[in-house]
Amino acid sequence: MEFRFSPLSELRRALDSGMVSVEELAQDYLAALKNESLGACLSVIPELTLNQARQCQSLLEKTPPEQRSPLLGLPVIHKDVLVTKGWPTTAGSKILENYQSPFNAQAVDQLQSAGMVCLGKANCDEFAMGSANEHSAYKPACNPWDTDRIPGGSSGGSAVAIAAGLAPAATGTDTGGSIRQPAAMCGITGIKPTYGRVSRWGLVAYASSLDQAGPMARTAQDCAWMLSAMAGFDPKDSTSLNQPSEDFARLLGRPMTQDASAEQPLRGLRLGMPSQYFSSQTSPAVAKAIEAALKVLRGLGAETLEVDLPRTELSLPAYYVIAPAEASSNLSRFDGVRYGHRSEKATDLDSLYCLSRTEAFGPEVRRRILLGSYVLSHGYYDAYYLQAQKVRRLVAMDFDRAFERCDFIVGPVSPVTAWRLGESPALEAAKDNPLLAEYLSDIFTLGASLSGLPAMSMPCGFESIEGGRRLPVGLQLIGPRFEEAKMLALTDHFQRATDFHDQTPEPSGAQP
Amino acid sequence: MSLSKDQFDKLARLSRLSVTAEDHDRILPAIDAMVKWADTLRQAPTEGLEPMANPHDMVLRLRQDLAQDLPSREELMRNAPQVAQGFFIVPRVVE
Repeated sequence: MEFRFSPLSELRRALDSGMVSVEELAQDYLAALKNESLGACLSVIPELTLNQARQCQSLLEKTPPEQRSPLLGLPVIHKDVLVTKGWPTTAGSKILENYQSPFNAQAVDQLQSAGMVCLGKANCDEFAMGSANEHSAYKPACNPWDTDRIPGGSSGGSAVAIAAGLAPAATGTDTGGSIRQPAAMCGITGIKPTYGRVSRWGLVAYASSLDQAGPMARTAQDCAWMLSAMAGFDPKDSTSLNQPSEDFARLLGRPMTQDASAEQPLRGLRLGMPSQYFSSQTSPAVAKAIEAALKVLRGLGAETLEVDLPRTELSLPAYYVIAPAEASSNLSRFDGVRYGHRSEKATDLDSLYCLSRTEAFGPEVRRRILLGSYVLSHGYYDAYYLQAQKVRRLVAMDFDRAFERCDFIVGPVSPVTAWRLGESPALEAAKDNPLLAEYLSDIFTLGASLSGLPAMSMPCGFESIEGGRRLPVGLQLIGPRFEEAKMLALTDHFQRATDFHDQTPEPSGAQP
Repeated sequence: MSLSKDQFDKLARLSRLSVTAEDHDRILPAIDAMVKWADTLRQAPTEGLEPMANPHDMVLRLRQDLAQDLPSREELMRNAPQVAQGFFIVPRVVE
């Protein structure tokens, strides 16, 4: 169990030196997953995992170390929104209980081809709709840093698995912040690539113009290795970017500008701080951790300057019109006929549709489908859906303008740290509208989602709470499209200068 | 504008969902709050702007009209709740 909290790069060395075999490594994590009580995992099938592990071990033995894929033999857990052959895929919904995909998601296939061993499927909000993992139809997940609190969502299970040492890496999907926000709340690293970088083929669809899969792991280097394997053009995804994958690790450890030096690798790099992200909306504890992180970045040579993203607040209603509209359309495929739950009470075709859907969709999913139908319906389409798409363009234009003045944008991922299970985030803006509290906490992640920009979260500090416990804070980095390699390099420099990403929760939370 | 129960029931019909009295109490007010929130979008100066359906303003590609290997029919239908002779079974539609 000595490897459970190691980054992929250390596991690589352990495998290459023969200190541990692929199968032993997989077995360690399988044992941890079997006993976990954090709600991180929805399915584990040890025989399938060990079978993959044995194949990778034999490939590893046949391949000289310098020719090995960096991921060969390393374990990964997939968010249950990515379909997998062998393991059931539920998307956290009862409507897909026992669903067995006849194929792998493209990202799953590519990670498997790069040698990753699948440990199982990670819990998530139903159809990725949520920011706390509490909308999973199976079980909530809890935060290993304080098990009375949410891990964030929707890729909550993925983040919990890594933070608690149940898996060294995971896939996640991010529609409005679902990789970045749980990564921030669980103290791990995660990146949402540029929209279209990673194929959507085999992602259970939520909002197709926003959905993007990406890696979650302990470090920027680990994420870079995984993204290199996940990205690339896929003709099966109609919005896949015709852009070859890259070696996203190629810039790691290098000075980032011409003026940079070994001590000041970020010298001359301009980091924009949107005034809207540094406002009273951000809790004092988060603001303090972000400020301290910016000090580190300045110490590494970066300049910080204020930029303006005036439509930050409007990105909330724009997102909560566009995403439900797309969801209501995407989720119309669940009809109780071709796959998924079918009501036994149906008397005719119409009641078969209505009852199957009503019995098996959770309240949050029904809520978003109904809202989506409303904003798409006759008489409201222009006022809400089209208007939201126009506001989306304004939001994207704000980012374009900001990037004329800075290289990257920095700020908090979430205005608050993890809140208590069953409660809502304590936000000033939510006082007038408690029904919207969970949505309001997405305020800093939605802009990059609507604009299709790459954005990531890195651990940057802690909030101290009662009982001597600590809650992680995540720093968000948003870049111009296709700049993932530089973002990962910047994060890697930050991680060389800090140890927030190395810290692990107290054993009570971490080892169930 | 507030969402009426009738409008809510109509939305449910369009969405192929059944609603209960409890939904009237719990889901309707939430949707009403979200619609009011969405009303704030009208303040934005969007005149002359094209709606953004795709963040890169991509136009959908056409694929080549070529035969592809796919999983077999049996495999693709394995998740269906009720099948017979390669067909999906549904309640009688035509009397």
